[in-house]
Parts: sequence; C-alpha cells; structure tokens
Amino acid sequence: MSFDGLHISRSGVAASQRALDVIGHNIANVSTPGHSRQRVDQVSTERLGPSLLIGPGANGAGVAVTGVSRARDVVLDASVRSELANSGSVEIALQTLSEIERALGPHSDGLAEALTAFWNGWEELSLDAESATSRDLVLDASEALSRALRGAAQEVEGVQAANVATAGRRLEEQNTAIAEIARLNGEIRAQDATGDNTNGLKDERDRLADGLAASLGATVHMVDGEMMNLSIGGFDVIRGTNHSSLSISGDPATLQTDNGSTISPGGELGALLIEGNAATSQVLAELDTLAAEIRDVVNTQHQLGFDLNGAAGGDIFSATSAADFGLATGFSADLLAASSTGSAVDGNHALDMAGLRGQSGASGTLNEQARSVVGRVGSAVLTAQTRADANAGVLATLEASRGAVSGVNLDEELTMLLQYQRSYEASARVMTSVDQMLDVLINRTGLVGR
Amino acid sequence: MRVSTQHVWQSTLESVNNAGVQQTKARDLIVSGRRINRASDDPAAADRASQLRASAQAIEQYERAGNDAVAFMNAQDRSLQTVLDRLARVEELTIAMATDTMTAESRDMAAFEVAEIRAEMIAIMNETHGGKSLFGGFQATALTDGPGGVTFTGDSGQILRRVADNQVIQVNFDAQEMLGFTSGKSLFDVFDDIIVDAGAADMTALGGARLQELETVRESIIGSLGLVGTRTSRIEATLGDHADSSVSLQASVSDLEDADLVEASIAMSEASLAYEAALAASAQINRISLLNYL
Repeated sequence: MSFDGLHISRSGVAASQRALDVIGHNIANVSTPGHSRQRVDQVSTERLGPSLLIGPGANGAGVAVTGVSRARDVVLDASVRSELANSGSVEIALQTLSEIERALGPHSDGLAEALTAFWNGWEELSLDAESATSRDLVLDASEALSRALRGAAQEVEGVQAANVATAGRRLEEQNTAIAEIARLNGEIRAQDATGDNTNGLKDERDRLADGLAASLGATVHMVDGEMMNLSIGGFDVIRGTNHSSLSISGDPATLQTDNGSTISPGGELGALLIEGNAATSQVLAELDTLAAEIRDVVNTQHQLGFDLNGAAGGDIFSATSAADFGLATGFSADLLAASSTGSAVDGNHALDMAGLRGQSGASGTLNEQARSVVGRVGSAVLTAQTRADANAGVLATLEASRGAVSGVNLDEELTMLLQYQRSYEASARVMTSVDQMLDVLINRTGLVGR
Repeated sequence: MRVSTQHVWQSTLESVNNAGVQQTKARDLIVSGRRINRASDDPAAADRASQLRASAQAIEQYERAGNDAVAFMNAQDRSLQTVLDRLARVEELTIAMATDTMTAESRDMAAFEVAEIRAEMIAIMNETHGGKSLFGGFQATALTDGPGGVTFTGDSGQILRRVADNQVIQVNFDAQEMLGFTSGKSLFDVFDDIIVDAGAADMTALGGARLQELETVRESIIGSLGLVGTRTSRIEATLGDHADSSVSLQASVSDLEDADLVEASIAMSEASLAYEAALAASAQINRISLLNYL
C-alpha cells in the first residue's frame, strides 16, 4: 500500500476541474464573435520506472492536462475568407449599381420621358406657332430635358464620390485592424514562448483577418503556425510584427501603401474604388454620348428654321458633357424656330423638329438610346442581385461548416459538463476510498483482539 | 455534423428576417399596385413599357393635332357652304336681270344686292380660324378689294398637321385657283361685270357669258368642298384608329407594369403564412434545450 492512489485521484479531480473551467469559458463565450470552442487536452500518465513496492507491471499514474486547444480549421478559414471577399465585393457592386439606377430617375419619369415631352411640345407648337403658351411649353420641356440629363450625370458622379468617401471610412477601421494583427503576432509569439494560453488572442486575430478579407480581399499566410502574414493584391501588408498603413488618393481614387505603390484590393474596397469607378464611368460616358447626340441632332435641325421674328434659328442646347447640358446662353421662347418660311404663322418647322423623334442615328433613335442607358443599368442591377443572392447562399453554407468545427454547441457543453462533474465526483470517491484504506492500515493494524 | 448554438440563432434570425422581407415585398406590391418601379425589376418589360408609353403619349399628341385639323376644315366647310349659298343667290339674280320684263329700277336693286353679296364674300374668304387665315395661306387676308378690283393677297403657305407617325396632312388650301384668279377672270371680276352689264341692260351677256362664268366658279368651289370632305374623313379615320390603339397601348403598359392584384393577394397570404410559420418554428425550436432536463 502506498499514497499513489491519492495522487492518481488528485490528478483526476484537478483535470476535471480544469475541464469544467474550459466548459464554463465556452458557455460564457457562446455568443462572442470569433470565439472558437476550446477543449482540455488530457493524457493518461505512465509511471516513469518500476515501482519498488508493486514491482513489474505497474499501473498508470493518473491523468495529466497537457494544454487547452481551440477547434479551428485553417482550410475552412481560407475558403470563408475568399468567399467573404467575394460577397463583400458583390454586395457593394449591387449597391453602387442600384444607386446609379436611382440617379437615372424613376422608371416612368426618366430621360426617355423627358425626351418624349420635348417632342410633344414641338408637336403642340406646330398647331399654333404664335402661341406664347405653346412656346413656353417647349421651353419648359427643353429645360426639363436639360435638368434630367444634367441631374442624372451629376448624381452618377455623386455616387462614385460617395463610394470613395465610404472607402476612406472603411479603410480607417481596417488600418487599425492591420496594426492590431501585427501587434497580436508579437504578443502571441511572446506568450507561446512562455507556454501561456494564446487561444483568445488567436481568435481575435482570426476575427480581424475575416474583416480584412471582406473589406480588402486580404489573403492570409500562416508562418510556423503562429505568425499571420497578410497580403492584399499581391502586396504584403503584414509580415510578422511589421505592417504598412494604407491610404486612398488620386483621381480616380486608388489604394496606396505607405511606400507609395498602388495596389488593387478585392472585397468591399475593390468594389467601391475599382468596379464602382468602372460602372459610373461607363454610365457617364453613355450619358455624354447621348447628350452630344441630342445637342447635335436638335441644334442642326433647329438651325434650318426661323424664329418668331423671322431670324434663322440658332442653337437650343449647349453642352460639353452631360453634366453641363443646358439651354444655350440667352435662349428664350421667341427664339424657338417653329417656322420653315420665316412667316410667324408658319408652324411647319416645329413639325420637322418633332419629327426628329423618329429619326434613327447609328444607335437608334434618341429615345431608344436614352432607354438603352437605363435598360443596361437595370440589367446590370438584376445580374448583380442574382450574383449577390447566390454568393450569400455560398457564404452561409461555408460559415455553417466553419461553425460546425469551431462553434460552441450548448447541448454538447452541457453534456460534457455532466461528464466532467461525474468524473470529478468519482475521483473524489476514489480519494475517500484510498483514505479509508489508509485509515485501516495506519490506525487498525495490529490491534486485532484488543 | 455539429451545429453551433450561434449558428442556430443566426439561421433562426435569418429565416424570420427573410420571411419578413418576403411579406413586406408582397405588401408593397399590393399597396403600390405596380410590378415595375425600377428598370431592374424586369429590364425587358420596363423597356417595352417605356416604349409603349412613349407611343401612347405621341398618339395623344396626334389626336390633338387631328382634332385641331378637323376643326379647321369644318370651319372651311362652313365658309364654303355659305359661299355656295350666296353664289346661288347671285345666279338667281342674274337670271332675273336677264329677263326683258324686269324694270330698270328692279335691275338696279338686284345689282345693288350683287354688290352687297360681293362684299360679304370677300369677308367670308378672309375669315380666320385660331388666328390663321382659312384660305390665304400664311397671310392674314386672302383677298383685298382695291381700285383695280379684288386681288388675291394670300400665299401658298401650307398649314400641316402630323396626325400619325408618318402622316402629315395639309389642312388648308388657298382660294386663288378656286376663285379663278389663276385663269384670268376671278369670281369678283364676274360680279363687277354683272353689275356693269345690269347698268347697261346687256341681257345677252347676263344670261349667257356671266351665268356660264358663275357656273364655272360654282363647280370649282364644289370641287374644293369635296377636297375638304375627303381630307376630313381621312383624318377622322386616323383619329378612330388612334382611339383604338390608345386604349390597347394603355392596356399593354398596364399589363407590363401593374401588379396582378389577385396574384399579389395570394402571394401576400402565402408570405404572411410563411412568416408566421417561421416565427412559430423558431419559438418552438428555441424552447428545447438540454437545460430543461438537467
């Protein structure tokens, strides 16, 4: 008989206690973002040499806790992050396109409708070329058309300006995250060296990396299993404990590192800066083409007529781009060239002006061109919507898989709580039994027959 | 597969949220009554609707032009009817003046009446509609009475109306040819001659050449009346077509853009049911936990 039994049960009690603490920690963090469930790693210990008392074939020496590990799958992490980048980019692209669509005006009152009102105004003026009311009607319609074009172009420009501003705000947060990861890298290395538990720090680092993946399309490379290196668009933003800070500058705005090189991010910022710029530039170019075409077609025809005073018609519209599309300087209702002969009664040129509605250029009538600008954006929104929905599904599946590995399940924890509670009780019971046996040995030996 | 508790809560939240979104969409559809509010709701249909609406608006404008043209030509028609009426009276007077039984006094009175009708006819031919001369082209007056007789002072300005996409119709015509100004002797020259002949009691001329000349102009005016009638009925036919297509265009736009209320109501009920089911299921699932049994 030795005191071994007491030590063995003591190790059991201690391990159960430790396990209960970890379970408590998991339950406490059931809703903490980024928390990975933790488990006590325990092994049964063997006696180092043969026991003098028991001899060969010695039994084990109890249980030892070798550490606390966290459940994490790096492959899943990589897939989730790549999908986070995708879905961040797709969501923002959808937002940008929807805003562009809104900028182009309501469906039943947009550019094409303004053009139709303009043609109808001329048609009305042809009924009575001298009527001040009809002339004002055409002038109002011209102004409304200018406003619609100018407003659309300015709002589309505004969409990209807002995108760049949003990108700036997001980048501020992400710069903080980048610095924090570099700091955590150092701390994790230092604490790992002393054998401290770094699970919490690693969870935090992984959570920040998720954010960077979504915002900037950052990819993670683990070095030696403990250092997290991070690259964006092929540029190493974090290398061990060193990191660079990013900024946005230039027109069109681009993402730059602190040594001045330009990098192209993915994720939300990629969509905000690169795709947003491409989408708005394309729509602006289409609006500019439309503006130039309206200006040329209308002005050219208008010059063939004569105004209320019998003078040859001038320009109605002046524009260098859609954003400054407007009436020619000093244009007034009297200058509308409704007459094709110079006679004030004659409204036949107004008919010719209205007839432009059916005149087909290289890319169709003006109305068709206006409609196709809106139509293309509408289709793009729909495609982006479909992509976003599909992506959200993929991301949800991946996150569920990651949750299956790393997430805390309360029922599971509660079951283990019971398990360790019982094992604690049992170890304590063993201790009592050993104690009673020792009691017999120490206090009762040799007292037979007293 | 393990299911993390956080995932259970999140997916619960998501499914309830999705059901809520569906319900809101269905409700919006009913409240707004419109299936297409933005081009992206259905790009092809939105484009088609926009195109059809433009056609409908153009047709509305053509209808205005057509109605204006019809009104103008009705005014011409009325004027020409009056002219014919007066011309008949002049013929009647001329025939009476050509008889031997008429006294010189009566003949003078008849000639006086012809002179009055002559003045009235000038006024009729100078009538305007909506500020535009009925028979004088772009000029304010078609006829001017001067020392050398009545002259045509209008021009050949054409008043045009677009009554359909590719249909531009001239609504006026000038009276120059109709009244004989182009053939040397105008109706008013005939009137002047009648008055002169009446003074000279030239019964042969009155009963012969003058009546003949009046008849020629009368036929020419009837010809013009026919032209006005043809044009009017052509425009009215087009207007009838417009009324039909206007209705069918509006129906098509409505088909494309408006929500099918029956369908939307059913969708709304379905969405509400799904929402309720999601809520009930969540409440049920989240009530069960191992904690209940420990």
